Amino acid sequence: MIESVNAKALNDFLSILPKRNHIRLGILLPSLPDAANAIKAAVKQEWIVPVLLGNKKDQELFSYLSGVDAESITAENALQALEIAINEEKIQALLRGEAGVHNLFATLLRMPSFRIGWISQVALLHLNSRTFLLSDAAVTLLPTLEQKVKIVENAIRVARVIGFDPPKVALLAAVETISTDIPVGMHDAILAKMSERGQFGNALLEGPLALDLAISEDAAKKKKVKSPVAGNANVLIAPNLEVGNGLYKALITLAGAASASVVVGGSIPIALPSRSDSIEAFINSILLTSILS
Amino acid sequence: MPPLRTLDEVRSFAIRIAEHSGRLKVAVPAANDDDVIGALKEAAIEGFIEAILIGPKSDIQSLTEQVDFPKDRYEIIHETDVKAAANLACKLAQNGTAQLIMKGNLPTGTLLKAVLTKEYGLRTGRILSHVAVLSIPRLPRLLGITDGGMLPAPDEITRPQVVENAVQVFHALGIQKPKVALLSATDDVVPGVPVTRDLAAFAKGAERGAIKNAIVDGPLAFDSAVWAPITGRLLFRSPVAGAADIVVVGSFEAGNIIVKALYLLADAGMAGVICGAKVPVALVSRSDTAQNKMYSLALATVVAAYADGRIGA
Repeated sequence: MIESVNAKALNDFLSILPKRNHIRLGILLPSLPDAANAIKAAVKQEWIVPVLLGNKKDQELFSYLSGVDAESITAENALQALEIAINEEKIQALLRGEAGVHNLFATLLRMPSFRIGWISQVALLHLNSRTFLLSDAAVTLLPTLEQKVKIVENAIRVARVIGFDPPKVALLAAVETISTDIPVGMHDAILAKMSERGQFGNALLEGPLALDLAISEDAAKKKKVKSPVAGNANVLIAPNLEVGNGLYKALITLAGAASASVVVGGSIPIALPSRSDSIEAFINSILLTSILS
Repeated sequence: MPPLRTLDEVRSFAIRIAEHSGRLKVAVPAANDDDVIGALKEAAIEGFIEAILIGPKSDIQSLTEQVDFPKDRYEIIHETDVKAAANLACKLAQNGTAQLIMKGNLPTGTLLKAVLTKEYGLRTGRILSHVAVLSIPRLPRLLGITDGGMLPAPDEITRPQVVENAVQVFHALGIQKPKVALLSATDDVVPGVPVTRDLAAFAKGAERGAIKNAIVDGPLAFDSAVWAPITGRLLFRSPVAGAADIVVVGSFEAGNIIVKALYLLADAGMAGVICGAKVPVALVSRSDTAQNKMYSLALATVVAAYADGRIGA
């Protein structure tokens, strides 16, 4: 099922990481055939036990689409079933469904049993023999300084689990200069100082950094930026959701990047491939979720 | 004229314009810069421009000699003061001696201030904004991204002007009714999120005629805007979705970072031009490749020829 070179490389990268098998993956009715096929593949690999969240009709449709017999948690609608599943700890991870991400998050963020930490999305991308994380492309519109600290901490936690040692975090910006006119740059400067003080453990963090300085060793050399992160970042943090989402989508559509996307910080991780993602991204997202659960 | 689909086509078109109606003249204030002289020389050899180099004469002379700048493709006007050089470039553009301006070794602000000086007559009533035009192997058309260089974030006053500036560039590139996407993190209009409200209202206004000769829609996420295969998965219809020629970003970070991602990671060729004045202003950055510098000059030349009436509306 995995055809593209980048997706295969990402799958190889994830496949050697330790994970639990047979995790109970909550499923919101997938309208996309790719999602159903990815679930089927994940069941076959014994990564997951699917638990369908929805009403009777949803369950019939799911079994028709996927040909998989899933356990189910039944309620009037999928989001109610999701509440039950999380409150009663019946699932260990979740896969997004057709429902708009907005409704899904609105439901989850209302639930104290889910919202045990700050919620953020982290994408693992593979492109041109480079594997890196990008956050946040799905949750927080314009993070405050406090929220950005949490977004960075979540991304660092994922980076450690997938073996980025040490995580090299670049806080993306348009320019490197720090001025009081640009609040994002001020936040980044504060975060960089926190990192110098060891407040993010062994992770290396630098910002504000333009994208070329973050990922291109040539550019970092030319502009004489001395930082172990410059040119070598493996974790990219976007300044706002427009950038995070736009960059993520630009990389998967126009650069052909492979991705695995997951929402972390809640009581369970959520596989959150985007609708423009391929079946390969659904499979890799489920795999990453099972590694993190 | 058929739409131009790649930056190589833009370059060829710039050459054809010169063959057909003469080479355009570029006024370059503070031209004493090796990088700028190098880029101009390449474009002069390609045959689409002649340069009017304004600045300290002996410095410029030695730079042009170093790169073998063809002697019949440039003249030098001696002027050591950068402000005076910027003013002179604008006067040359105003009286028709030059059809475009290229930024030399002076602060962008100094040049743009001169461009906006009322008495030089280069103002159009619109603000100046930057339009990046990218040629991306995975996309069968040119993609414009604006504004990734000048404005912090468009608001309801500046957004229509940013759109019109970019639309004019695409008219010059032969796209008669460019499709314009207003970028957001989601396609949904979320009443609690002001930016999505603003974009929705603006798009509706554009549909009712506030923006002419373009099709505008938003809010749209990046994939919904540009990626044709996604249209089958969207639960709504949009005349722009999957086919945007121009993406209008909501923050200067978004423009800057997405444009950089496309040329660093998607093998995109890139050109940039400042629009909103009667003549375009070309600028190249030291970190641009030689090819992208050439593309920027070719783009500015085509936009200038369109503004000048040499190529049809």
